[in-house]
Order: sequence, then C-alpha cells, then structure tokens
Amino acid sequence: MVTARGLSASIGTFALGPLDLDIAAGTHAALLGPSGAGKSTLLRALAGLVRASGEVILGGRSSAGLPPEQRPIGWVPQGGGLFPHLSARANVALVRAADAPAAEELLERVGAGALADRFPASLSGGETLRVALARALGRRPAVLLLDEPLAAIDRPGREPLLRLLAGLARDGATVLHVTHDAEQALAVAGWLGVLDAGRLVASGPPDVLLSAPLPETASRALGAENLLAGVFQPAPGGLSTFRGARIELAVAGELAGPGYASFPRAAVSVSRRLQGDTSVRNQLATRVRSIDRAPSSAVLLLENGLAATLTVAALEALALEPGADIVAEVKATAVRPLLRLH
Amino acid sequence: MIALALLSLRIATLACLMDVAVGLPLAHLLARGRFRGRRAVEVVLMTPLVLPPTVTGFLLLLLFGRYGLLGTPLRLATGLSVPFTTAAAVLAASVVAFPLFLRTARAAIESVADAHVANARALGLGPWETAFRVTLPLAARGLWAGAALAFGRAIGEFGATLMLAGDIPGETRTLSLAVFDAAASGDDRFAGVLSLLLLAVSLAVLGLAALLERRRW
Repeated sequence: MVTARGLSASIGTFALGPLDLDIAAGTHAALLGPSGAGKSTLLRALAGLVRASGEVILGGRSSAGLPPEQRPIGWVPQGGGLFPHLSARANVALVRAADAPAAEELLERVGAGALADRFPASLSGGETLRVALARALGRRPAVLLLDEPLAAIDRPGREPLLRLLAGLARDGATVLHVTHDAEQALAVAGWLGVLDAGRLVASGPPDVLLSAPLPETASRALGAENLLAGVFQPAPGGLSTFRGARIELAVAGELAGPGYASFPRAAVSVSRRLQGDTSVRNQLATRVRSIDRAPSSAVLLLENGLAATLTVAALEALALEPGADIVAEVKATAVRPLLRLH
Repeated sequence: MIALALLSLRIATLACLMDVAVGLPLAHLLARGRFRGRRAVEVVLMTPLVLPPTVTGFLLLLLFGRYGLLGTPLRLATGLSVPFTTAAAVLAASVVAFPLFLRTARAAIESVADAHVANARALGLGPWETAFRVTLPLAARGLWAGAALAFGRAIGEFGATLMLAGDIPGETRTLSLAVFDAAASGDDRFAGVLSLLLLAVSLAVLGLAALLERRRW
C-alpha cells in the first residue's frame, strides 16, 4: 500500500507536488509521464533519498522522515543499479532480509538462477533487471519501486520481462512502476497515474480512466494519442473488433481479451458525410463537442470520446462548429492494439 | 645493510598503517561529508605536502618535545618521551606522507558514483554498512594506490626524521639518513648502493600505484 498526502519535494528549480497518492496493497501501479515530469523525483521522495514534506505511508507504516534504509521498500533504480564489484549472488545476498529465501532461490524465482556467479559488467539489460528484481525482493518489501525498468531493453526482449513484472503484484507486493512508455504501463498496470510538471493530472484504474477521454493535460502528457480501454474479440477476415465504452472499432490482427486501443490524433480524419467506396472500415458517425484552435492546426474533441487533429484550412473548408454532425474515420491498421498481461 | 633496510621497512610500514588508519575516515568525511569548513580542514591537512620537511619536523618537535603541547601531558601521564626514538621516526614519516594518502583516497572515494551510495541506502544498508560494503570496496584500488604512495614517501623521508628522531644507528637511522651519512663521510660506494636500493623501491611503488589507479568500474 502506498499513501501520500501533500507530498512535495524540490530539487533545484523543479518542484514536485504537493500530491496525494492512494494505491491499494497488491496493486501494480504505473506512473506515466514525459521525461522531466518528476517521476524519478517522486520515487526518490518515497524512498527517502530526497528531502520531502508531507505524509508518506508505505505498507501501513508512516515513513515520512525515516532514512531510506528504514523504509519497507524494494528499490530497482534505472539501469538496475547493481554494485559492479559484486557477483549477482553477492548483490542479492548483500541486502537480503534474514528471513528471506537464499540468494540462489531469489535469483531462481526471477529466472536468473544461472547468473549467480556472473558480474554485472557481463550481464545484458534484461539479465541486469532480473538480478536487480531478485535483490529488491530479498528485502521482503511492502512496496517495490521500479524506475523505468525496461528503458534499456529493446522491444522483442520486453515481453517476458513484462510478464515477470506483471507477476510481482500477483505475488502480493505493491508495485509502483515509473515509465514514460504508455504501452509498457498499460500492459501491466492495475492503477494508472499520469504525472505532468510535478503534478498528478489523472489517476485511477486504467480501464475506468480510459473509458472516458482523459483530461487534456493528461492526454498531452501521454503524447496526445487516442487511448481507449475496452475488449478485443476476433472477427472474420483477419480482423478483430474492439469494443470501448462509446465506440466500436475494427482492428487488424486476431486478438481476444481486455486491453487498450491506441492511435494518433492525426490518424483520425473527419468528413461531413459517409463515404461510399473506401478502404476505411471504421466510419463513425458522431458530433463535434469542442474545437481547440491553434495557429496552424486544431484539435477536435468528439462526442464519442475521440480526438482528431485537423489543419485550420480543413476546419474552414468543412465549416465545422461545435455540435456539427460529422463522420470520423480511422484505418483499422492505424490502431495499435494492446492486450493486458495481468 | 640488511638491518638498515629492515628498520627502514618497519618504520615506513608503521607510518603507512598510521596514515591509513587516520586518513581513511578523514578521506571519507572529506569526500562524502557536507559540512562548513571542509575546504579549510583539507588545506590544513595537506600542508605537509608543501612545507619543507625540516619545518614539519621542527613543528613536531615543538609539539612532542619535553615541554611541548602534547609532549608534556604524554610525559606526565606515561613518563614516555617521543623525540629521538623509533616512534619519532615513524611519526615524522607518517606526517610527511599523510597528504599523499589523504589526497589519493579522497579522490578514489569521490569517484564512486553518488548513485551507488544512494542505491545502497534505498536497498536497506545503513551509512556504516554502505561505507564498508559499497563505497570503500569500490574505491579499493585507489585506496591501495594511496597507501603505496604514502609508503614510498615514508621510506624516503629525511628532513623531518632528522629533526624529530635524529640519526641514531639501529633506532632512527633509516636508509635515506644512511645515504647522507655515507656520502658525508666519503663512502660514495655505500651511498650509491643504498641509493640504488631506494630508487628501486620508489620505482616499484610508483609503478604499483599507477597500475592500481587505472579505473576498473
């Protein structure tokens, strides 16, 4: 369990918070935000590595003001932070709690049993992460803090590690996982927070949070993508149907199960009436809710929860005003499906 | 000559051990501590590096002499007197060699990434455990290099030793003092042999230090 009330910290000119956090025990929480949003600072404040004010309760224990070594945390810093002078086994043994399993067994549990005698310099990014996880788990932490765990790992290598991360909370730990990668976060998270410029701009279970449009600040912090929660079902013709709260989309690929659909705002095109001959499968009749004009382009927020970017010229050619009936089109291949791993 | 070399070795080793014992905590404090007057403390501790050894020796003599600031209480408490003993030779050598160890050790400890220290704390190690299990082991090569330099300086020490410990055969006459004695009495051959020996020691020590100071992590 992680609870924070009025948590704030400042490093140089950067100010974090004040912010409140409520993450239930046994939850895998992902904290998303662009670089510089304060994600690492928040983790360091929770770990007691930076001076912070406000209340912090970790695993039921009030931790504000405690030095880092007295907080019930498992620490996996960016890059793993293995001590280079110690073997994998010695890294784990150095901080292992007296009642925790032996170092070899901890390594075994994260699939790193064969690495016990290796030194950090000879480990790949994924191997380093496994050893760092074993080391953190050896403290029997109430809260596991992960800073960009998959940042140094290429896409093909991520899948097994994501499954490993998704399994941590199933084993009863509360995980707080900081990342700038929405796909990574959504694959494993049961709670999602969006941090922007030191403030928590959205938080909650991701399927609830993403069944309605995100607040604009949060949406921008996530790269201004359309991001929707829903369920995938296989459909004929190598397609799947994605059912969200207010929208149904055809998606390329055979997919089944709960997940998320994500596509850029620029991938949504807008017209006044239904097209006849077109390759576009997703023609969605809806209305313009609001228009946010910028000098060269405009963001349209639609009644069905989608957002589209248009040039100002297109906006004028279509004579769009709030309330106008339109058809929004999204190519099935433009939708990136993301299945939940947890 | 063997007795001479062994005495020098003993004095330099003890001096080096004293430097490490006193210098290690100070180097850690200077490298990791954040307190007012850190620079001032460092300047004072570094003075033997640039002060003429005779002056260092003279100041030590004032400090540890029969009526000195430290000599008086020591004499009253234990009846012992430092000057002109083997202990004085050790003290002189260790004070003169101290800055070399301190400076090298401080640099070695400073070169350990802050992140390693922070990670150790967040992983549950207290400040002492962090120092002994993480910081110092990571700085080990630099610490050994500093000890080697201090040993090399201690074994060659002349001026401060002469001032504080004199030139007593079998007690305070080290190799470097013996070189002076031999040359002064016209025995160039013996002076040459001893000089060669000291040159070999110096080269070995510097070579070792250079080898150790190569970055490993």
